[in-house]
Amino acid sequence: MRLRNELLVYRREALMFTPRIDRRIKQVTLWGLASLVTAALVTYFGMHNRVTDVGYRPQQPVPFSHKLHVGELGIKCIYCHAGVERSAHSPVPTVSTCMGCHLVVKAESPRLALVRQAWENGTPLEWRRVHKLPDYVHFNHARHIRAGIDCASCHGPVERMGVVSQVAPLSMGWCLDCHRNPERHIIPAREISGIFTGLRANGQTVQLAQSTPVTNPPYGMWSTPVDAPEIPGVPMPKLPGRGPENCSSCHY
Amino acid sequence: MQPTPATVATPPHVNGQELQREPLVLGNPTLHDVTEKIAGIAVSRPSWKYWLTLGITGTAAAWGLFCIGYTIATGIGVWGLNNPVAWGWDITNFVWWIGIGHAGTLISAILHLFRQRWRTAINRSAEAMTIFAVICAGLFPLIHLGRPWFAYWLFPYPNQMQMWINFRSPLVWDVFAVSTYLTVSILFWYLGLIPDLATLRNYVKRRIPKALYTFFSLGWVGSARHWQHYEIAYLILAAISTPLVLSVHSVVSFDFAVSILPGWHTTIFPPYFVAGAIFSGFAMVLTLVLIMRWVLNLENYITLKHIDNMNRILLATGMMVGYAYAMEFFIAMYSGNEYERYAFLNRAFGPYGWAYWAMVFCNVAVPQLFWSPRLRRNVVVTFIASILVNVGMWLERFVIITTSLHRDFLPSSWDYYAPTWVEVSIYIGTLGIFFTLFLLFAKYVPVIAIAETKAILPGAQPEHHVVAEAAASR
Amino acid sequence: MHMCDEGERSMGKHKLWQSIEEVHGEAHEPVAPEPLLEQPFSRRRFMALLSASMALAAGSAGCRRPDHKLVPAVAAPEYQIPGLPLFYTTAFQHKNAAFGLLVKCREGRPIKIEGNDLHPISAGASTAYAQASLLTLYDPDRIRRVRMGNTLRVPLETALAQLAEALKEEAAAGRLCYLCIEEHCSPSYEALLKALQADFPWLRVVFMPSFLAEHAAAVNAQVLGIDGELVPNLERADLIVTVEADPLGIDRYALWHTRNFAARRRVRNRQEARMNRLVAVEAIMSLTGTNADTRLRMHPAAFEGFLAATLRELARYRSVPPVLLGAAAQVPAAYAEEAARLAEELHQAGERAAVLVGAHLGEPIHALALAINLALGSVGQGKVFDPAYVLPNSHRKQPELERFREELRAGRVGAVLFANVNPEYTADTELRQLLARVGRKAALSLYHDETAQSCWIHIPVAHPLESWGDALAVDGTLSVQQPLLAPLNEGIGSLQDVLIQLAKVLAPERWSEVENYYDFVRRHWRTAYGVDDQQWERVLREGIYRIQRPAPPLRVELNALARAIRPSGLDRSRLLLLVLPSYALYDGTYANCGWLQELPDPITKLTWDNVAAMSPGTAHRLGLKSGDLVRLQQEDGAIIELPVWVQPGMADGVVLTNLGYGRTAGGEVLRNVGQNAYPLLRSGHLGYTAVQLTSLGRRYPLATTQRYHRLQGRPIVQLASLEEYTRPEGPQFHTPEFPGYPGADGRRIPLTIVPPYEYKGHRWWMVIDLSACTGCGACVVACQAENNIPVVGKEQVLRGREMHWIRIDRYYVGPVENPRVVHQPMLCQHCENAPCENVCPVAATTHSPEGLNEMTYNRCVGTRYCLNNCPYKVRRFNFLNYHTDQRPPLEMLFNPDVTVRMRGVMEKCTFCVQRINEAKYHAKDEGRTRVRDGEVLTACQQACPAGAILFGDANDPDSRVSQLRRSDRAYYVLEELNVRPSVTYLAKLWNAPVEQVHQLRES
Repeated sequence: MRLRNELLVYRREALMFTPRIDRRIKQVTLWGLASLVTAALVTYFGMHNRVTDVGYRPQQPVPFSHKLHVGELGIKCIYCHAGVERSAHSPVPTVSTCMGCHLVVKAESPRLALVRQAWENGTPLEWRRVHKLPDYVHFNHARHIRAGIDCASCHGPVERMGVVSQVAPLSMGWCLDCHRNPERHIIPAREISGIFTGLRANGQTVQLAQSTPVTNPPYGMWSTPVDAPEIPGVPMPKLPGRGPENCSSCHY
Repeated sequence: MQPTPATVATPPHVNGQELQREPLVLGNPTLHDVTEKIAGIAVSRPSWKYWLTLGITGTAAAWGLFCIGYTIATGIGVWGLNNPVAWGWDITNFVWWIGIGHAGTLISAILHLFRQRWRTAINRSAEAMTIFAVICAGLFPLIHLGRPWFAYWLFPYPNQMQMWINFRSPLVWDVFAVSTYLTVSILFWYLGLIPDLATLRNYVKRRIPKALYTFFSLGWVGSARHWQHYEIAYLILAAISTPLVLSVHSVVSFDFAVSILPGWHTTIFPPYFVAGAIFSGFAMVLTLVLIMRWVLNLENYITLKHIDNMNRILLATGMMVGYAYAMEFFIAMYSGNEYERYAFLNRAFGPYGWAYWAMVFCNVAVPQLFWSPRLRRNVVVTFIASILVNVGMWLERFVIITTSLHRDFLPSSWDYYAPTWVEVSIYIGTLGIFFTLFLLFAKYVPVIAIAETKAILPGAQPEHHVVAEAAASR
Repeated sequence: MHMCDEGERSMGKHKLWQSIEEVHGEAHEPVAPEPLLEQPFSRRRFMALLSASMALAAGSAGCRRPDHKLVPAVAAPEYQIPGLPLFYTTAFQHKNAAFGLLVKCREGRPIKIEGNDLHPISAGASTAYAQASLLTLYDPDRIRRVRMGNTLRVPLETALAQLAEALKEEAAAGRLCYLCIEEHCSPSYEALLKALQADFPWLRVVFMPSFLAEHAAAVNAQVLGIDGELVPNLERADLIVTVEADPLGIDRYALWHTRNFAARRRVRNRQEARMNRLVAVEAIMSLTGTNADTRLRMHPAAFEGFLAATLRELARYRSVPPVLLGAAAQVPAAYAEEAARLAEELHQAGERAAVLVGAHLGEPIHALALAINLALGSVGQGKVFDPAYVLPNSHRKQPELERFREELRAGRVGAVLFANVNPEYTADTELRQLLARVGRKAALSLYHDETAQSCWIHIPVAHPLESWGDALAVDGTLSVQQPLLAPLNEGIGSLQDVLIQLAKVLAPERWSEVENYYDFVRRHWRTAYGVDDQQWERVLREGIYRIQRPAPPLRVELNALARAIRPSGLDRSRLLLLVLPSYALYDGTYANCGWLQELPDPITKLTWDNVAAMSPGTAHRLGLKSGDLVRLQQEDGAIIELPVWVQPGMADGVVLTNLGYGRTAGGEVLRNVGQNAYPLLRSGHLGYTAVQLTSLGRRYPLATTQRYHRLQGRPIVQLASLEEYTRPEGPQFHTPEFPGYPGADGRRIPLTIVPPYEYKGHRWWMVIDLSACTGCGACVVACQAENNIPVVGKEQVLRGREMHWIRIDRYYVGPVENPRVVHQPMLCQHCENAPCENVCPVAATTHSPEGLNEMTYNRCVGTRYCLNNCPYKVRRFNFLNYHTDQRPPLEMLFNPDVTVRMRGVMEKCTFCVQRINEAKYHAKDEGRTRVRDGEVLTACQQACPAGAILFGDANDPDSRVSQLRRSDRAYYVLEELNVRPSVTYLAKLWNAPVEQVHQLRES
């Protein structure tokens, strides 16, 4: 009895709950959901280095063209980046390296003014860095070069670039993709890179392998005259040709 | 709740005198009285007392938030943690708050399923308390991180690192448990609120509040279909959150149980923690409800019977906790594991012995008072006891965490831990946040479930004709 | 890669130094994850607050990263390839002791110091001092420019001109000029000084050691006719008796002694179980005492009595000259029965026994010891005390110092040059007052220290790692000290260079042909040792050049010896104070080095302070506790206020404190650290003095890294006596009982439901020999240097937040009055069932296929659960940004192969994974699929003089570690937890009676 009155009260009251407000409620809810979804998407893709840094193409102080030097003149990568097959870093050529040729070649070219200036005053050139890994990543150029992996695998067709740009995301996932199945991603060592894929045993070169197809011999393995202290029944855990995937192979 | 047409049973008689259930609402108010009383709070001007308390709690909350900012900007080093003791007040507070939440869920879910009608007086505030407690709890795992800005790494989301979370870690289970708990609690609370919000919508006159209540009552008109859907949804949610009462704190207890530390690595932890949680939760409910009852003079709605019932639960859970304490010791001695044995001896007689014995007093000794029916219905005693139990349960977590850490396996690394002002401030801050939220809740949301209360009024239920007539004749 | 000196000299050119900095820009600077550590401090704080959003922004598209520069050198330095290390040999001088070093350079900056494995003294090992000299090199507190009075930035030429002018005036006025030098062992330096004195008659050179301890030299001079200390060769000793001597501790050749001592302690197996035996008689608790097989706690007053009694007892077995017996008879005997037992032992060991006496003890004790050694025949060619092994420049310096004082008193001294000495800090009041009267004072030193402040001219000289020189080791090995980089002090040369330049100004005609000190050294080597350019190159590559030092003919003046034997009246009733150099800072020279300040004292485990150590008995009698401040006062009123440290094992009635603390000037680090104990030396002499102790009723916080010192009956350190070990039934080592199956190391692996992971390829393993480890702490500093471990400061150590990845746990076993001590290096055990790994929510710590427990800093969010769950508590959490207050050029110290950790990140021992990777690269380059045994040296292993740490591949059955982990001494710490550590400990063996060890084990 009393309850029914209550319900009637509700009904009457409910009249002021107009369709307009009802619509408003629905709108607000919908917009809220929509914005939530967008936020989620932004976060999701924001977290992806897949879309970051790729295409970073800073103008360099000196208009140096890899296209000209490598692509057309055919100077091998390691001529200027000497030591890359031995060091973790790929050394940036010193001014003296440039002047080695340019004392005679295009000695007067105005585009080389900065270089000559640097050479005369002993003040170094300041190039702008294109490829930069975080400092907690210990990437080692030499290891990859010696596995017969071509520079282009990560740096792209530099010999066709007037101004160098970043072609790969250099993100951890990108590294792992290649470490897990290299055959899909790796460009084998090419002539133009001038990569030295030989071996050093007791200091001197043992054997110079030419750049080889991806599968045979697999990456990281060489046929070698140096006897390897193998332990019977204990193979190396790393699959032939695969890169390591444990944390401390890069982060330490 | 709509009355179900039921066959009227003849009530039991004792020597001709008819036995009456103790009424759950005193003063025999009409339905309108109930609305007036509870909805009235929302429109009435709050007293200076209210503003004063709000001011105090608000300040505490602000100070706490500042200290959190200071910690994040400077580093965990501003806390007193050191090498052996890497968790201190932070995790203690986390477990304490989480535990407090549990009473709310228990009351709203389990007691609902068991048709414990007396819960209607307290379930609303208990659920609110749950939510606020879980919010405070959730704060600590976040800010205790060394690099909180990477907290999102604890969630499994696809990323450029191709890194996944470590599902073996109990901390990950924690993340899921707590977030689930928060979501379900909020849903449950809000669903229960809808009819009452509608009532308020109709009750209040000022435009903005009306608009707000209108919005949040989601067009509730109280039609039979509304009620039917509401009932079903409420039942389902109750069913969902019932296991949570047990699971959440079990998972929290895994944080310790799966470790190898003597004093942590114990199989008794899940039930022990759940019992403790309900124990502390009910203590907190009592504290809040008693204050509310006094401030908003709701004596007729939160009756001594309610307090009595809750004190019974305190007594029961308190004894469960006491049993756990005893059993831990027994196992430690019985195991013959020297590290285990030392850990517990150190707990009771080591540098933190004071905390241990204080804990035993608060959690085991104090509840024993409630064997006496008189004390169970004594508001003052209950209030003090509830406070003591809260303190005791905080100490329990502190003892478990700190004493196990500060002396573990190699004596060379043993050390002592004491909090800094920052840690203390953050704890006070969370208390501030909690009470601020609760005060706002008490002001703007029906603190007692109006609809449900109406459903348990005399006459609202199929009753013995005598009572029915009595009611009708009024 | 030992480079020849051509590349080396070009290294010395200033231009190149620039280019190194430039290369540095391009190099792999180790900085923690961006952007937090690269911003200025306030900015960083701000960003830390916003960093959650930063993390988002940093990754999201469209937001360009900051511009990074690549700055290559103008002209590539020889042999320099960015990213590849270069190694150079050089020499390290610790006062007048020396050994060879091998320094690792990256991009032209030295980043790590190792012992030169070709050098017979170091043999690859090194000391904490040597490691720390690297930090001194980059110390921001070093003075960079010449300073005259308050005018800074004076050009060196001006300063030298003025100085020369002043000297000329003084000389004209008939006054003398004194050059005060520290103890050294450099022949060329000596030659230079001689040349200078020859040219300038008014120039006098005086040794000014920070403290004097020359009773040994005195006795040797009177008896053997050798004015100097004989350095014992412990390798030849079966029985070593030390009377408060500390050959393994503060001795200047501790490195060599530790090597020789430990070489006789590393018992491989039960069959050839032979060890030397060390008996320590001491009142203090010295590092040697903690390593003794039998330790006799004795009051210093009883030393003579004890030795005299021993000598008399010895006469029962072998012939002792009656004159000596007569002299010994005057000394009242003490500890007769111990003496009798010792005498018997000594007699049995014969000439392979040696009695070593602490340098601070008086002549009579040295005389008695010498008498015993003579009677045993352990003095002579090829014996323990070989006259060929005279410590260079260990002659008595007091006479010359006295003459110096005389001249000062007489006012005949017009000018004083202080060359790397600090009398204002070390000298007694009288000398300081006398020096104050001298008008023309100049300091040539690294720091603007107390003395430099009192000087008119202060010329900042180059660090040893920046300058040429040479050093002569006690065994006659010469090594060249070559610079690793151009001086950071704006190109001012070494001390010797400055002296030569000064000479050039004073007498251009005679000194014009000497170009610089390098030139001088070359000339000296050519003339003195006939080393031509070819040999010189070899010397630079190998770092050593052996010369024949003619051993002086041995003659024994028995009467002189008898005369020296007399009772020295030490007053038993008074409280006796002994001041010794500290293990960490030695005499204060290293006071500004954070690594050493934070290196826990091997016995007290205290950092950042010196204390008044006393026995529990004494402390109880005086009602004192550790941390109570007391005032110690001598008769003449010299006062020092120190906190008490209750040190078990010390004799009652003796107080010990250390030198090197309480510096007031010369850097930021050394400020307000400890108290200066030099005023308590009697005219610079070490030794016991009576003091009065009054409690100040105040407390003082002491930062110790270990607060509990008992094993609690837990089988953490396992002990056995050699005798028991050699018994057929073998020792009873604790091994937990559980059902399981035998593992590779012959120990049981508990049954599990999951099959154990099969480690293919390498399986890195470490073995630590507890009976070899002396607890010297070289490994701790070496690890700190290799792994960019921060110094956290006293306040943080007090909070228990020291960051050392390897620590040396020190436990007391036995009665508190005279306990035995065990040292246990504790580092990450790289458990196979690592408890830390499965509790990390973000998988920041994982297991590598080679058994390493990897810590990935950049993934760590800092829940600290791993630390809680680590049973060894070896994980270290960066509670604060400990690296942010790095002042330049300290950042050049960082090892570029190791990430610098930011705050909120957990870290721990990595088994030097960067070195492992390096070794694997080399193996691959040589076409090997495996790393050879011994190809990887962890930093701690490399530094350890005792050879107590061994690292290698456990999958290789012939590697030394896999042999040792099967040893019958092998055990795991906390094996019962089944965490399966990758570190095997070898139980500690004591060459002492079985029942003694059993008693200790029971207690």
